Amino acid sequence: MKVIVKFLATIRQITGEPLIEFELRPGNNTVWETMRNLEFRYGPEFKEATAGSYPGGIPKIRILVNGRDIDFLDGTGTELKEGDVLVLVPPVAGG
Amino acid sequence: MLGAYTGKMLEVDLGSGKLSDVPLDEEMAKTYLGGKGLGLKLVYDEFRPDMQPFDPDNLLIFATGPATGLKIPTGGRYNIVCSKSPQTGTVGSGNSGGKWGPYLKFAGYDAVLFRGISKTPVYLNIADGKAELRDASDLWGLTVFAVTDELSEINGNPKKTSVACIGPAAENLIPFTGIMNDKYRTAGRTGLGAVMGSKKLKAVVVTGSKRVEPANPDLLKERVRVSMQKIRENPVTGPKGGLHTYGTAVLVNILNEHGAYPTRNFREAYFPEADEQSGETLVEKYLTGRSGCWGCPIICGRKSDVPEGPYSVRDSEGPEYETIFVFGSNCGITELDALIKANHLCDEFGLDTISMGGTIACAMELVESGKIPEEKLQGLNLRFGDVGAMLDAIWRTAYKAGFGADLALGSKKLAEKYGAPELSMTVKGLELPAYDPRPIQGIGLNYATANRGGDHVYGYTISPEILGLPEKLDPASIEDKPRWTILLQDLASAVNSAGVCLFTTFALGLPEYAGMLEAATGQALDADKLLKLGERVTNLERLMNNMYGFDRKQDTLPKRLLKEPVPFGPAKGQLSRVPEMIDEYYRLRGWVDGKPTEEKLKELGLA
Repeated sequence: MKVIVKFLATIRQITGEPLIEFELRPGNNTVWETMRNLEFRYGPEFKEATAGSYPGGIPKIRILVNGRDIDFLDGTGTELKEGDVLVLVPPVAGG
Repeated sequence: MLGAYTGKMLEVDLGSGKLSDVPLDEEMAKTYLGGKGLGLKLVYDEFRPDMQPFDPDNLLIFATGPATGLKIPTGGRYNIVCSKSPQTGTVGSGNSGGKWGPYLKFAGYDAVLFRGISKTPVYLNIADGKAELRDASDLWGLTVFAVTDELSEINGNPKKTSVACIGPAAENLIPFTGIMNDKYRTAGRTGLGAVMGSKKLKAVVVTGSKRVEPANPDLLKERVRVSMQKIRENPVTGPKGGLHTYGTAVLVNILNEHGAYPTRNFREAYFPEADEQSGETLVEKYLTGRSGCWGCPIICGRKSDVPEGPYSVRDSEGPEYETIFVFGSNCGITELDALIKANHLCDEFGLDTISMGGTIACAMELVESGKIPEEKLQGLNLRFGDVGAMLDAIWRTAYKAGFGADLALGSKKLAEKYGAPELSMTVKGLELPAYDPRPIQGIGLNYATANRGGDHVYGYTISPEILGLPEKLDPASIEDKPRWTILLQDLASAVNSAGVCLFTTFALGLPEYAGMLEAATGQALDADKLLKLGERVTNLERLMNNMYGFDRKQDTLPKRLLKEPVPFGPAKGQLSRVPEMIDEYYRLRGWVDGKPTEEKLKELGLA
């Protein structure tokens, strides 16, 4: 089962690529498991940049699945399906 | 007088050429702070409901806030207000950074108020407390960059000099022109440039070296230290943060991935080629450096360069997110180098990029839907995706050349002229910014209710709805959005009256602003009092708009955003639900049908 993972801003600097097609095993297809797989693939710098929160409680990344923040789906337990688009967004802003 | 103010305003009658120093009323400063609040109060004191945009009595006010020119982070901002906008018919307002605001203060004034119309072109020079109107006949017609170069050295100290000016488009009274300072900074919206052009005022030059003292320097130093620490440690505003690294253009991919990146005149909300015009691509291909406003630790400005190719433009600045969307996805155009060029042209001519791009996109749809006959275009191939036509349209608008005369109407009057008013993506005549409100409910309510029209920074609900700051709200939900919209609108009114940048709100809250302003001015302030002041400013602006005839009828969105679901992409099927939120918004505001009640006005000291 393939999903697309997109990396924005500083996360892209670490991965060196804007997006990848990523193979998930059936039964191993939640956002949480996918993030662990990505940590394995991109190493400790990726994990440091994506796991947990900054002081003050701002999450290091926000995660979208098909345009919806996982906070409003099932969190990191959100299950991914064939063709889903996962987007990793570090804290940025503008106006 | 309170600390942090010079205590003096300059009043300029362009009709008679008379210049007068006027004391800043201390009670007014306490009640409205400065900046936007002060400007609105000065307009209100001479309010005439029959005011016309190019009436000599239309006041044009440049106002700093108490933070402007102090060592308060981002204290480099100032506001411009006019009695009547030529674009919207509301009170007009805008704010800008750069270094003009601080140097007005160092030159000896908190604000400059212009009335009347000069017989011939003039500019105002203020150098260390001495103000003088000078002939600008030789400067009339020059672009923003040229006139800035001409005037930057007239006082012999360019480092301590700043030039605010208009470009040729404002001289030609195009209703969506801004007032530019330091070449690339602009009070861009609601046509303030055209009001300045109507007064035959080409520029205002400020040079100064006299710093303004805060009321309590030691307390201010300590409170600034705490705020600076928060800004530096914040992942958005810190030295390696997203704003510094990528600028506002970082939002391109984020909004696109939410399915909220307006495309082809808001027909769509997802642009598959967005990454090619993103902040990440800007950094990779065209960024040559970063530039910050006076006193700013964030430094979000872009220095950009397109060294070769059909859209080459050297040593430019920008573009911001709004400009990328409006000439990019909204016109169906992918090429980022062309968007840098479009931004540069607008800066040269002094055009508001959002309204210029929104008008071109509207024209493209009018042409494609057969509403504008081919012969009217006089060879201009205005179709979505046509880069050459888009760039051509900018200078044609500035000079009303060929079809540019129609584009110079702005999208509302253009769409009305060609029988399709529903294709103008405006609120109160102001073209909408870069967030499709169909998947982001709060920003739609903000657009609909913003006093100056389709305006994202009037109450930046994107911060909680998309970015998750200070907390994450579900953008698709309408729950609690009226309360959040009001809070963010009043916060913005307070911040714009203080003289600091809205971008600090990503790291700071009302207690930090109140603490710094209290130490700066000596006026007792806390978070509640500051928010109440913001509410007063919002309501004062609304009250004047009511007297111009605005009420519930104008507090809405273009029909497309209420009736045409997003056709594809992550937000497929969504619509704005403003009609479901507006009554609750009014109730929480203490308004009836878009008008503050007598009781509310009394509560705020406005009746």
